[in-house]
Amino acid sequence: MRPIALVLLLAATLGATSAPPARDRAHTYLMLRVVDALDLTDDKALQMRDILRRADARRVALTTQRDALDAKLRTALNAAPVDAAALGQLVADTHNVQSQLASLPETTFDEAQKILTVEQQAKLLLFRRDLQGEVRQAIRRRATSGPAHAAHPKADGH
Amino acid sequence: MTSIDCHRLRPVLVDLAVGTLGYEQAEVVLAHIEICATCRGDLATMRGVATELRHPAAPTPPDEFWQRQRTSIMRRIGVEPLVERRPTRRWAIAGALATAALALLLVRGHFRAHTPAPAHSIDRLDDDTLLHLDDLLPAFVPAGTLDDADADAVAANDAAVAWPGEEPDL
Repeated sequence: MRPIALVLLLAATLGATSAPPARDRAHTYLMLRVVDALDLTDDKALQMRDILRRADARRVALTTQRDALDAKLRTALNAAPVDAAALGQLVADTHNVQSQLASLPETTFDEAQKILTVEQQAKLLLFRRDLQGEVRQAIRRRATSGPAHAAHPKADGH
Repeated sequence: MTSIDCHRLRPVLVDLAVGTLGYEQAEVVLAHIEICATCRGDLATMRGVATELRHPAAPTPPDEFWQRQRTSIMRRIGVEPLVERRPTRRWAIAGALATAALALLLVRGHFRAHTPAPAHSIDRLDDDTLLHLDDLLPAFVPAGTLDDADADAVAANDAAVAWPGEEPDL
């Protein structure tokens, strides 16, 4: 084996044993729960993983756009006099982004429907609500038992 | 696919099976599994083992256990063991019931103290991962569902309030 290939192989192995960031762990956990709840085959799991990854990337992009538009709205409202035409455009843009954010879960489900059986679709509808309940309950439990949010990078909007 | 890939990815299959592998690494492994029947079979086996560990069959105490418990309780309440004096039918029934209740409490206490959280339990996530998971869900769960789920969580907390003399069943 050539030295460069060996180094790359070792780097990949080391990378595979180091602790992944919390965001990656959250992705992995979500995927494992989805695979378990829907009893997905490996090929369906791969397709579902891509759907969820695209949905999350879209969420991050829309959230970033929304935050930028919110800042522009505040600036425009504080201007004197208010530029009605510019503000009108900002309102339309912001409303559009918020609508896209709101419809994102259904877009995700629509994509999932294309690859899942009806039984799996039904399980997905129940599972996503159950998981949300579990997450909320776990956060509430931890919030009442000690500081849980200190290290969370909420400021990045992801 | 070469055996080098299988050899390289084999150690992380276990992590993938129990849910501790990072997203990016899981991607690599899942891509390999898609085209490698051997590793796919191994992963299925490992997941089966993980499931077994998560749902262990409850052990059934042997007859000797029940007999010892019964004798012990009968002795505590002042009734001689069967070999020395045969109890009345009423005492026998009371003793059997008391034994069953005590055994149930013992077994319940044992499992509460020793049963680990399931491998995929949300309680195994660290705080950062849990909060990132909460951030991921809006792409996956509609807002109306979030409110419902929140209410469900509150209801679950209310339901977990303990009866007098009993621990909350969280």
